[in-house]
Amino acid sequence: MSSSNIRERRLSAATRAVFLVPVVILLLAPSFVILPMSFSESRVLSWPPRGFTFDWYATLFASGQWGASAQHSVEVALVSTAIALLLGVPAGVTLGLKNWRFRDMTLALIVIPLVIPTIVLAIGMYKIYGWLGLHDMLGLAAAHAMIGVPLVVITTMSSARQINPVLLLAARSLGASRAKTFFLVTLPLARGGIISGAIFAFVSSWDEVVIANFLSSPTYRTVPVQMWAQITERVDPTVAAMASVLFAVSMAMMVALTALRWRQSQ
Amino acid sequence: MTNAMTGGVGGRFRLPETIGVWPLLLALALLLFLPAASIISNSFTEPEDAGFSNFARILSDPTFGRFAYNTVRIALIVSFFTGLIGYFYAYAVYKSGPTMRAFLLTCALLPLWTSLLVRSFAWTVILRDTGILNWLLIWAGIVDQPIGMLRTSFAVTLGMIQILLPFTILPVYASMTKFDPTLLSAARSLGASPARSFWHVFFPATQVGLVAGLMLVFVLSLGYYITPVLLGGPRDQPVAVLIDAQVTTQLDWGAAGAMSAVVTAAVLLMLAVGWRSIKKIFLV
Amino acid sequence: MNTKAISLAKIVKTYGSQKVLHGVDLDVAAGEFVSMLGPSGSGKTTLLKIIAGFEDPDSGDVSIGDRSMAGVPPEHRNIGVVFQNYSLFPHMDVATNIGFPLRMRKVSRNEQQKQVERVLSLVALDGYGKRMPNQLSGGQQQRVAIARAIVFEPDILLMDEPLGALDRRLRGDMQLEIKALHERLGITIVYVTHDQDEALSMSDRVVVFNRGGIEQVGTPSDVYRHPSTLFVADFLGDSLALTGKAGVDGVQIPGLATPVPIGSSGPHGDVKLLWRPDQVEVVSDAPDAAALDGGRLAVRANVLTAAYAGTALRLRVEIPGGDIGIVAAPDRASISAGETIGLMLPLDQVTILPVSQNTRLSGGKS
Repeated sequence: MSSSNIRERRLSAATRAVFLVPVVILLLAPSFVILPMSFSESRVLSWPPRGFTFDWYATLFASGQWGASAQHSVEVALVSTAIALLLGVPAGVTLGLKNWRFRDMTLALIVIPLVIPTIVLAIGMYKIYGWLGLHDMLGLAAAHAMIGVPLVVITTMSSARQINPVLLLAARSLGASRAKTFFLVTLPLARGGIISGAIFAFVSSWDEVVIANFLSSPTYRTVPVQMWAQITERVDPTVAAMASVLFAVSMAMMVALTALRWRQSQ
Repeated sequence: MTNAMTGGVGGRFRLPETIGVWPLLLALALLLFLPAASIISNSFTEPEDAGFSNFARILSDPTFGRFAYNTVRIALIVSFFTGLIGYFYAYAVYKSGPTMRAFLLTCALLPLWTSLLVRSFAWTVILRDTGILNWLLIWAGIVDQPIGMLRTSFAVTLGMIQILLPFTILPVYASMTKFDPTLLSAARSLGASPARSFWHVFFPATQVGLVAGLMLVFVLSLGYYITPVLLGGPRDQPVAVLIDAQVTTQLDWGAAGAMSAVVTAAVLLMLAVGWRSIKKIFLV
Repeated sequence: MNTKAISLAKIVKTYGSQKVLHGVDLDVAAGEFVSMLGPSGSGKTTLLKIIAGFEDPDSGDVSIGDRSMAGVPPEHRNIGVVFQNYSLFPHMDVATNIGFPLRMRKVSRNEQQKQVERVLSLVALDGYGKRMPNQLSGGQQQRVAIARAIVFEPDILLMDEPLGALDRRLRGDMQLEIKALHERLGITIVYVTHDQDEALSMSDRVVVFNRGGIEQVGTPSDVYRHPSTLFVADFLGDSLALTGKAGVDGVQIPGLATPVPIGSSGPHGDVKLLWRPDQVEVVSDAPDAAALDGGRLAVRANVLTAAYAGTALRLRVEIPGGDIGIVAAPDRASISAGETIGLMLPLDQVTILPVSQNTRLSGGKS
């Protein structure tokens, strides 16, 4: 800190109050407004919430639809994360450790899925996946894997960049094949980035709705798809309860990742 | 032991060095680029021998023009505000003590972890006539009657700013942490005022993060779908919504393909323009 | 065991348009300690990588024992490699690091443990097995790296500037330890360095590299006392060299009327006459002109700089003809810059080197 004298001069209290407080409220408000609504006794989502009840959660968990879609969401998120890891980790490691003529082009191709409008991807996948024989779980998992894999590649790549390439030569000279070197040296050293990538991929699948809307069928829906249908048809506090559950799972993931990072830095 | 592992053979087949990226590229080609390309190719094949007629049709169609205008207008406004707020928020993080910095960074990261759908839905709860904001305004005596905020440009802009703000805050903050503060002392010692040294030394050095963030925000907002549908009014609907309608209600795959081609081309063009700064900030 | 441990034949390697090795031939005998010495970029590290199998030569052949290594990946060559620094796996403790090559060779756990303990005591690190690499000092890390590279009894041990990251004092200790290890294990060692003292003090033979080729191969005293080129002479240490022209009746030196009666059988044309500092006697009374005095050549010299170098005074001198070189005087002699001194150069110890176009004696590095 001693060298960064610019940092030592803090912002004035007035600046904080006038500028930071509204922005912090803007950032946080949507995350925390849902929870109280989900416990409100009122049938409409109006402020302030009235009373306190678990009824909406009870209704939610009692409905068979909810149980099925929760199971589908978990399935799709897990399978798509697994696919994203299988494809993304070797690619991220290669991009982080090697330099070749088309490296930049490869990287660009891999991040493009993040910026192409999801509606375009959704319609295209709807059209092609049926033809490829990818239905329900398989189709959703494949699609979400393609959305999640750039995140795995980016985080793995930045971890792999920190690996000293001499270690990989050392492993080879000590008798490890390329495959053994990859599993015993490269992977453990890139672990941090791989775990972050896996969590990002899981959350991105867990939350995804546009593609899921197109690829799901009446018998195979994920939670966001069901929630989207309910929001656009009739809104009642079960939607708030559902949103709270989605939120809680994502928060749990965030806390897990933060704890992991903190433990690694110790 | 010397002979334990020396059973090598000459001229063995070796996998190429870049083998790690090939399965992924193959999967992307089949499961992502093929679908995207097939939609775009619809613009030439629906109906058969369509040629560029679909493009001619949508480009002369005032509906498409209006939706395209909505898309670009919202994207520009959202980029402007996320850039402005994001830069100064990042600056505040940079100038804060460790505890405050951790708190502010967590606030910036939290939205990324909350689902887009949940957040957009939350804004409907906040902005509706019986929502928190109107309740607060009435309670404070600013208005007597609830003002209609849901389904307006204000709602969709606010929602998207909140959702996309992390994409400018984080890269700008990252580029600020790489800044060497002794440069600023040097500028001051050479006689520059604090304001001048900020604009001539600090800002240019941290600009790359801002450019990368803005590019990303602009590109992402071109494709937004959920938030405009839930928060916007009829005049705030983007091309993404129109594409959806072409497929699900009009069954006009040719028009959908042409529109997809236009949006995707715009996105890829922006990505190409901003590639250097995006690569420098996000892909290290 | 075969007497030839490594045999390199016409090794060529290019990176892009840059030829880093052009046709290197070298044989290393079993049990020999060979140093590859040269400035950075001279190709010595590339050659080491080719021997280890990390790089393939464009052409030429590497044989280990009697077997050609073409197409044999590094893990099947049974070569131990010690790198400059930080080559320990940071996620494994010391014992796991050392056990790694045994694990790759499917050695039983019991045997692994026994071998790890054996080499740990060999490098004087008994009881360090459970430490993580980042809990060790630089010197300890490098000893673990050496232990790891010898535990599987490789045919050859390659060392790539293994002491480059250590401070001066530690380097000296480690040099002795490596030398002792070599004598104890009788293993073939190829040692890459750019430090001539290290190469001269440790090796059975020194291979001097320059610009992608071998300049000279010989015992340390060979390459030091009888360099075959001006590059080798210069790279291996201080010297004084006089310009001359060699003919049938001896070498003509500027300022001397008659040719010096030496080198009639050696190279003809432009040559340099070279002496190492310990062969030159520095005297306080300078002769007026160059003269033959018995078996010695006496010249006068201007002291440009005088630096105290521990056991002697290191003098940078200029000879009236314009040649600049380094000589040494006992440290009790009080000589300072600007003085004129005399140098006695014994003719029977001179090395006569041809002056080629692209190797020039620079007259000592400052």
